[in-house]
Amino acid sequence: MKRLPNLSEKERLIIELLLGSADRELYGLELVRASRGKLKRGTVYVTLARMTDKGLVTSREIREEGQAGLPRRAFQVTGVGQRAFQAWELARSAFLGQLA
Amino acid sequence: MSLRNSIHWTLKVLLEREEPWQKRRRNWLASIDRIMRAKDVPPAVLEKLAWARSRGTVYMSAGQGQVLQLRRGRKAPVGIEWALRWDRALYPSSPVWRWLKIMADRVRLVRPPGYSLFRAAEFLCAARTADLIFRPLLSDIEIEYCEALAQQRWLKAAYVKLRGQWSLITALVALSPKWVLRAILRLHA
Repeated sequence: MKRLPNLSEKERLIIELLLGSADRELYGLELVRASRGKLKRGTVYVTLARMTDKGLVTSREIREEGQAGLPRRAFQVTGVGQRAFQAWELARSAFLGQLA
Repeated sequence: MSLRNSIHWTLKVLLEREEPWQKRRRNWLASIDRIMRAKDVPPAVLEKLAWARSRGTVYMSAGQGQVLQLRRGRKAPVGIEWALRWDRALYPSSPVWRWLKIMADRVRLVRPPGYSLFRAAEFLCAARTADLIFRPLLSDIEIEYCEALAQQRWLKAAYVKLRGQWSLITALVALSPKWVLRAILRLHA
């Protein structure tokens, strides 16, 4: 049986933010702004790259019409990421239920 | 020469005399044209410069294998209309100050903030790491930096630049075990 991917605190936060966004697709900078200081500019992309390797998120390059400069990279949660997050939420509620 | 002729010529000289702000505007447009006419500029850069010229504000360009940013001096006005209205009054009369202002306001192609660090990271890390981590990071720095410049918030722009460089260093440090190992393996190969 395959193991569920382990989720760190930052990874959970990123998935939560991505699932909470309206179009379910965010840039790294938007994630940093939405996290209110919990995610740092320098490490957010390192975490996102690790999550991509685990298959929790996918990304694509976006070049907006009329915008000069480097293309931006938008991130989206995969089905595996969504399931891992749901499993973690269930485990947490069960654990908190046992404590109460 | 009749009186009519002399008035005509005086008026003509007065009207055709180039004011400092007109000269500056002409220089500004000429520098963009010079860059646009250069042979080694890739088509993507030319396209972005054309876009930049039409906007008259902050300019960025990404070419094949090179990233460039067209930047005007910090005291330069936002748009040509602004220049027409205000530049004349702001232009200093002293030749030294005038020269300094021209130097400060000249248009030049510069690298975007953090580009040297990005190149270092590109050299040290794998192509995929550069694509997934450093390129989007550089893009974010560019966007924030240009937003600050467009709002004429120079201090914020400087802060964004510093913070961006710091974030690139942080990312490099976070990935250091990977690229150090890679460098050792490369040296031994």
